[in-house]
Amino acid sequence: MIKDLLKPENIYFDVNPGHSKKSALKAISKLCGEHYSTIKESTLYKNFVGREEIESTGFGSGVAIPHAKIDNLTNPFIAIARFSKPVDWDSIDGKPVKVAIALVMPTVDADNTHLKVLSHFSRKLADDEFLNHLLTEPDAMALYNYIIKQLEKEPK
Amino acid sequence: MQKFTNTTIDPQDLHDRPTGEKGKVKIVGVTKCPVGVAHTYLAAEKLEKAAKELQYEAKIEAQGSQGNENELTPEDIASADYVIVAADVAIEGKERFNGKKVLVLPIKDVIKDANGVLQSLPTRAHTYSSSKDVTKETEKEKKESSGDSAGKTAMKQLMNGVSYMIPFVVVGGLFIAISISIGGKPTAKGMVIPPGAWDKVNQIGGIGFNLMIPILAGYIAYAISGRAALAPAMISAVVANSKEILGTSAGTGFLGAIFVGYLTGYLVKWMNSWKIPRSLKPIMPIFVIPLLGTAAVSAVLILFLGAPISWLMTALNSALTFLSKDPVTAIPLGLLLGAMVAFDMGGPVNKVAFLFGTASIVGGTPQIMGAVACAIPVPPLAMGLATLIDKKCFNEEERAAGIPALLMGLIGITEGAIPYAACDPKHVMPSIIVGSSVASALGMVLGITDIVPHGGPIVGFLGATNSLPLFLLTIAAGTVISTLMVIALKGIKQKKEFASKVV
Repeated sequence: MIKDLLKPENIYFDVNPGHSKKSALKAISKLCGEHYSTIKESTLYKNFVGREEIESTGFGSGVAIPHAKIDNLTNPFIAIARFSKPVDWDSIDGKPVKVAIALVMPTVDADNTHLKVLSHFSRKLADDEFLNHLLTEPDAMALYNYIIKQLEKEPK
Repeated sequence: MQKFTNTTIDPQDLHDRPTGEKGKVKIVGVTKCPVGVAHTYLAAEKLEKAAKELQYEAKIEAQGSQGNENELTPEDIASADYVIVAADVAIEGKERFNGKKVLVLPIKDVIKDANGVLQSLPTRAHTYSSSKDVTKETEKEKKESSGDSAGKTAMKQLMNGVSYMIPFVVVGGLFIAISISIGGKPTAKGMVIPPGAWDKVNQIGGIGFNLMIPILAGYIAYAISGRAALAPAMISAVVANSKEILGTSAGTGFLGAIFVGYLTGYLVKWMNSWKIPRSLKPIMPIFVIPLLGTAAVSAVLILFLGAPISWLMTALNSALTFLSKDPVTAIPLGLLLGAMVAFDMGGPVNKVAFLFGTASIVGGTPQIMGAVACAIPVPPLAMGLATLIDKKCFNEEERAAGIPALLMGLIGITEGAIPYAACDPKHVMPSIIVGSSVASALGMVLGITDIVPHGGPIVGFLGATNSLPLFLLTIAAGTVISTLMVIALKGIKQKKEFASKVV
């Protein structure tokens, strides 16, 4: 269920990304580490950066999906960070990123339930209207409700 | 035979394909990214979305960390027109796409512009073979082999026609051969079968022979541009063999059928590329193209082929008349008669020689018919013999047609060699022409006469010739020469191919 992965308190608005992708990833890692006691900020940051080194996760239109696989993670989650200013992400369309959606999951997911939600979520990112909400919805709770509604509407 | 059509059909003809639902372009694909969490699915979704916009049918397999979602079945792959592999890492089961038109590209290209990627498929996708890596070699391959592959494609199209034709030749030839050998009576009009059971068998065989021409043309054209080309090619091939419509005294035979096959195939391919409103597309392959194609090709045949054939036949007849006036030119006359018999095996050139021979019986010079009768069995006997002596020079179908060809040779049915000549004209035609010429010239030298307008050993056994042993000797000589020559020529070809592969 999407509600298990995305909590209203994991939607962060006005996050200061600093001046680079790395500082932005650091900021996200810090927010998540503060919220979840099960995960270390440094582990998360290392994993995010490692993924970005393979290929930028900025997939265009000002959105990036940094993601990380963490050993023995018990509580996979999605966190959404909207930045106070656009940050260069080396995206495929060259545009700076305004919203980062962090996907954090375990290396091994026994019954795949969480991964299925994440893949469903990833598929929604191909939907322009969905992206538009992520970029512009002024109210965090409204955005949360919108996402839940969208993902529960057509479960995969 | 599906395999031939798959490789030769142009993307522009896709609406004309029997596969895919409602004639839509069908795409299958695989997406895979290093982590298998986000991009794999995002890319799959983008491809599906873009396909929907373009009204393509699409199924995309996402190879993610939760296993393979939406896995492609062998049927999906078989019916797909194109395969997209959007991956930054090696995918699972790439060998499934052997022989399909595949485009391999980084996953970000799909995320960036899935629509553009789909639209570029006809130009960017290349036939995949798991023995080599598509991404690296396609460009190079395209440049290197464009000349060579055109010849290979033409050969495949020809082979498609020939392989459909062979059963017709075998059934037709054997029915005629059996009915003539058992029920036939040698008369001044040829081997005549009195009305009765054998006459019917003979007529059934004749139907098989008549169908061989449209089948050959039709399936050459089908291999080039699919279903819509079948009707115009088959009908036009029959037109090319109807002397009444053509206004000549003979049809064009198997060479004409090959010509009609290619002409129609490429004409229809061009018609398929026309930009027409979507609403008209369904009626194109069943109505517009067959109608226009048949009219156009038949018109070309009647307007441009009838006159040259008539002229050629008259010219050849004059040449034969000239050579036959003086006994000094007996050997050249024999050589020419033999060459003409083997050249198109039932086509106009063959007809002129045969009719010239027939006329000679009445005219009191039956040695001309004798020479023709010596040449007639050489092509099928030589090809049948060659398939027994050197199997590796022939494909499976040709080998299977070997014994029937021998039987047709014994009964004097030259057409038994048509499949071999159609398959590999470069090597077979010179061989059978030389062999038949030798047999004919030898017949002239030995003064063999034949008073029945028919050829092959059968007329000798029925007592129509003046000397059975000498008659058989000429046939044997021509057959041996022809057999050795075709094996030698095909052998050289194979060595060349082998050498080019090693290099």
